[in-house]
Amino acid sequence: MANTVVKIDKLVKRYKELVAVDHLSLEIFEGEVFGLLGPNGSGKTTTINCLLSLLSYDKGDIQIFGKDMSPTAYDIKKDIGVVMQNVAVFDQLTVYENIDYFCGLYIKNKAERKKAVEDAIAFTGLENFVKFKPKKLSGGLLRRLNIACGIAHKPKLIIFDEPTVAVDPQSRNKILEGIIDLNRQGATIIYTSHYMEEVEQICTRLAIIDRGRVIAEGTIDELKSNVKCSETVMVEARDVDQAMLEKVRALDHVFETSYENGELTVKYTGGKHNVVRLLNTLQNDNIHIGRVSSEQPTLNTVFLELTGKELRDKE
Amino acid sequence: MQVYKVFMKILRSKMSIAITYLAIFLFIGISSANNSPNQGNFSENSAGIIVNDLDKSEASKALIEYLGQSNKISEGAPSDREMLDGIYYNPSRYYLTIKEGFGQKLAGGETDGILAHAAQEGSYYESLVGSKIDLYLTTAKAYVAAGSTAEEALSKAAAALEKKTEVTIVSKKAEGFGDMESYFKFIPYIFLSVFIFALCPVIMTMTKTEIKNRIFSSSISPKRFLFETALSSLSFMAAIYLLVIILIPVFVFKADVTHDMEIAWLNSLAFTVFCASIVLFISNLISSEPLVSLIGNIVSLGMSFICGVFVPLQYLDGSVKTVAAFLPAYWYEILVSALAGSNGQVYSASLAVKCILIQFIFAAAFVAATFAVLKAKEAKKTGNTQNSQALPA
Repeated sequence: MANTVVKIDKLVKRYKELVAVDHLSLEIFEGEVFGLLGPNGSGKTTTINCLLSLLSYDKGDIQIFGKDMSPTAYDIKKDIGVVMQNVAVFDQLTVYENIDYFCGLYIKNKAERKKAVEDAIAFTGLENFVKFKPKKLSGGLLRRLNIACGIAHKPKLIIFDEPTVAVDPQSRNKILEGIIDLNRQGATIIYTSHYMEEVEQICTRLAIIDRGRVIAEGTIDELKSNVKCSETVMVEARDVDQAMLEKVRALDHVFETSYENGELTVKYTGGKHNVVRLLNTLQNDNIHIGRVSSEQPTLNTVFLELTGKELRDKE
Repeated sequence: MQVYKVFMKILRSKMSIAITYLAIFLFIGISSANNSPNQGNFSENSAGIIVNDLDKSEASKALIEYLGQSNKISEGAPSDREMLDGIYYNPSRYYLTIKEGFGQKLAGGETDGILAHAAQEGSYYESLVGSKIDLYLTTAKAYVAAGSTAEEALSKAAAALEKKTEVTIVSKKAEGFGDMESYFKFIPYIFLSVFIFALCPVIMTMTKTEIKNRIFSSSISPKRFLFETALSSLSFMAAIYLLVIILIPVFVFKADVTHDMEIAWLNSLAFTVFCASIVLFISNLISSEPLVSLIGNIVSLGMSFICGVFVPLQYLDGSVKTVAAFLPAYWYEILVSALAGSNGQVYSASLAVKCILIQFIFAAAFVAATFAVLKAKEAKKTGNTQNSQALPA
């Protein structure tokens, strides 16, 4: 089994009466891309800030690389890279100077630092912009600079706190590919987001957080397998009456049916060839069929089933 | 020294504003210091005297020679119209007519009706030249009465009146702070402006939440970060202090390093320390850069207007002075005035200690206020939690 990189035990953080993090426990292993998924205000950033000792907390223990984390644990901090939600760079410095400055907080040796800065520039594809000041960069390039500043010192643990907020799809894909590359190079990644697609795309394991609590944890397949609904089939159909609905409900693995505005929705707990069986049943009764679609459960389905609400507002 | 280097790099982007303020100050400061009235020395004023000598005697020539020692003399016989025009256009013009028989009458001890004059009535120059002639003739008359001839009497009178009175201003300190008053009195305005406008935005940038979080997530300690930030701010202030307070007075004004000058340096140092405290306070109190400009102007201009930087203290209303006494720039100006012996201030060592000490107390008060602001911010950020692992702000 891989080494534990981060261990959070019963973490509690209160803002006066509001409990932002409520007895949250997590264990993250070496080489993982661990996702922290939750809606806005669920406690993801507060957890990260406590993890980095940027914020005090009321109860609990945090260990990183097997050692207790504290504001003065500089031997731990030197191996951590942080990419914050908000871009944290100096507007007055060039791209190169920014990366060099933040890298210099970790690496004192000039030659070693120069190499590290150049590697970070190449990794984030900022070679053509080294002399640019941040205000001259597009949103996507600015995010890449933010990442370069966080990873230049080649940390073993990198924390990405919603790094793709307000980023165009093309830049978002580049950022996600970069994160996977960093993981391939040996870094353990903690990735917080409220975009379930991103988490599904890059995370090997994840925890879903709501109201400061971990409500589910595991690999994506594990989480989906715990959901009652394994498939939802939707069929455009005319003249489906109550008798027909009863017939469909009687099919194998069906646990819920509904018919609204000419669309028949059937939910299954499992099984194979559900669509074929459903269409045969409808055709046998001479029901006219239009568009047919089938959906596998998503993390939103998991979240919906666990909390009774959507993971995020539909955009 | 990574933080120090970056601080200085960012500060460089704010240098244009500091240089602009300094350049304007140096221009105004140097020119007003060079043009300030020389309070330590006196020189006689001179009038332009047009003499119409109708007597042409040795005595009349002696009078003209005497008047020529301190006035510009030209001879001529202008008409009444010309005299009126001359007086109208030039108040320093004095028309003197030496009447025929001047020498004879003077030898007989008679001085009435021997001269006639035309000058702007009641003017300074009418009094100046008139009193000079009166004094000369009265003295000559005394010598005539003592048995001298008219010529002898006039030459003896001229010799006697050559001696000049030495004037010493008793309120002015002997060592002399001299012309530096008009230079040093602008220091509060220029220091507050330069330090607030240049340093506050840089400190605010360095301590912006996102930047601070990134820095404090790294292996640099908050103490080290604060140390390097403070060191870079103080380096800048020290450089400005050295340039404006020491180098320019010594090398540009060629001022002697007297005890007065050393007190002026100490006074300016106390004010610089106060500026450091107010820069710290403003940087931590506000988070918006445009507000720096607004607050900087209110502080620097406000303090300068009511504390005697722009308007001499003696012209300020009593109630304004009462309010000003609660501001450090007032005490700075009091000491500058005392060193220069102006505005009714008389220098004493106890006054110097008092003024400097008050400025340091103001600085301490602003540092304490900054800590209170930081504590309130930290409490807001952490939600008053009890865990002891909180970061220093």
